[in-house]
Amino acid sequence: MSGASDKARFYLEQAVPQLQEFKELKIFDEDEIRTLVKKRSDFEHKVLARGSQAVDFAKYAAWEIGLEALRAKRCKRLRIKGSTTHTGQARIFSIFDRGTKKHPGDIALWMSYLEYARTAKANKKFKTILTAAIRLHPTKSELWLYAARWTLEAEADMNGARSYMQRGTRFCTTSKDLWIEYAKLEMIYLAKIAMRRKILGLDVDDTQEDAMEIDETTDGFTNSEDVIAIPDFKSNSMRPNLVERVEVDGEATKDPLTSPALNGAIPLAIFDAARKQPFFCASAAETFFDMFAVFSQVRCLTKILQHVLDAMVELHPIDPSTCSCYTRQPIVGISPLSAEFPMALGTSLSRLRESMGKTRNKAELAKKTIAWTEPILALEDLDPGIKTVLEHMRKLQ
Amino acid sequence: MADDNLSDEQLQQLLKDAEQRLRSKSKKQNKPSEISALSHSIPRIASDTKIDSYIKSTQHGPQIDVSHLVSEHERKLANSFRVVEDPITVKKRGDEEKKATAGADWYNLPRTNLTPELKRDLQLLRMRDVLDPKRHYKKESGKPQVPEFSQVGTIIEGPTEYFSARLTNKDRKRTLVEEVLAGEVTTGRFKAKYNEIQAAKTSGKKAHYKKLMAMRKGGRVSKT
Repeated sequence: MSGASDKARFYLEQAVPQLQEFKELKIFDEDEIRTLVKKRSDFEHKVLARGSQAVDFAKYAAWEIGLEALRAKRCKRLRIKGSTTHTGQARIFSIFDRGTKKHPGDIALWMSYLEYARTAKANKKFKTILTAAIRLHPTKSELWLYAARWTLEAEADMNGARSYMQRGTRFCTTSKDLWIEYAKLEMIYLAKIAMRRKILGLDVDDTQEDAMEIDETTDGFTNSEDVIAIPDFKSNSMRPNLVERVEVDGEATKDPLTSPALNGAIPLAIFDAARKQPFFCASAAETFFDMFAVFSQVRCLTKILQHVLDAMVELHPIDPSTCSCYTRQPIVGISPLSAEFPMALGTSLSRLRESMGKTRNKAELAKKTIAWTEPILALEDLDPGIKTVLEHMRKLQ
Repeated sequence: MADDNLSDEQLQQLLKDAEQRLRSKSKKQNKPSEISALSHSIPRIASDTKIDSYIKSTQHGPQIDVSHLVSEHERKLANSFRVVEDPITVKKRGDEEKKATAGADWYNLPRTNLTPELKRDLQLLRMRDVLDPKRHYKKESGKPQVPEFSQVGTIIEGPTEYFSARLTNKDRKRTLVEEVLAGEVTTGRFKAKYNEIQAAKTSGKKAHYKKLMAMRKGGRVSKT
């Protein structure tokens, strides 16, 4: 059995029991089955012939996935019992298996395979595929990130996600992508802890009594948005008995600032390790700064930002990136509509003036200033005084 | 607001005013601002460069992403003009260019331009052992061959060689053959040599027979 048509025949024969089931349970009629066989035979020949490409396998798999979906729909509509999804799914998996064996370097095919296993909720299979894909492509940071994200969001396994990130950072030392995302993962963890404490009423926050959010990521892992949506709900809308029923550990009620892990030690350790990597430069540090700055819920944010800024000033004192971060530091985490904002903006303005004097590239710094003032100016009910000051900052050269 | 040159005091005043306004506003309506609500949503782990899967789910079932069907390289080819040249002429041109000179290793020595003068000169060079009886050269063998790449140059003597290794203006000619012929006019060596050889060669052949016949007819020695 060596020719393409012999192999195709072998694989087609394997599908016969499935077709017989279709016929017996009357899911498809004879004509339809004939077309199915014809189509499948075409695909098999295409896939097994010389010069077949990864896309051909993907096409075949897509058709099989469609067929499987159609079968499920018909069974539901005609109320047919005794037809399971196993055969179809196994067939799709075997097609992907053959494809990835033939084209192990094609990362898009691996991704199609992973996505199918994920949507089919075949978790065990998914983990196997993920391991195989990562083993073949350890230097692709996207795969590590995909693995970490799935572990965190679908499995809710922080330790697993952490271990993926740590293993990934050993391989990907030339791209900042993975390092920044690892630090982000730790920040997400801290933010979640902070929110959980808030909801359980462990932190009595004086400044923010109005809005309380809950972390709800149960809808799981999707690739569409980049932000975990959290529904607004007020503390008083939460039933008091629900909160009271939760028994809070005595240890937990202690001040969170005493523990170094809750104090931002892990993200800072990652940042310090990243400093020794070949990719590290002023712009990479700025990306770190931007990433950290988003997490306004985390209490130790000011400390983290100060640490990053200190490192930047030490390594690249006159770089425009450093100056831009130095300028933005006072207003990070303060809403432009709050009463503290004008004061912070005043500090920021004086810092911008100072930086303009010493920076290496004034035009670049001005460009960065314009970039970060843009979203604030776009706010509708911004105070006119603040607006004027921001406009002034944008013109500063 | 369009005033460009705001002083420090003016800016500080503006900020102070803004702070007071915002304080009074926040006292009046104690509602969470939009920004704070937004900032409470946690970002997710996301890569800058996402790997796209081939299969995309549409409302007509799973389909292949069209962008993957044609490879990047082929798409680029399809979107640009391609100038097609006749491969034979291209090859010919390449060969000609290659063969025009002997290559960089030989300082791009050009191909021989075989003029009648050069042909004579080359013939003369082959027979150089005849020019001077005191000079001896290695024997040349085989058919006379024109070199594939060659160039004719003129030796220009240095100022120190004025008396030792120099041709006078009168002696200078355009080619080697002309120089040798000019030398022959003065020395007559070739003619003498020719006659010598001729005398030896014709000693027992046609001339001898003619002489004999003349003697038989006239009974006397010929005039010459």
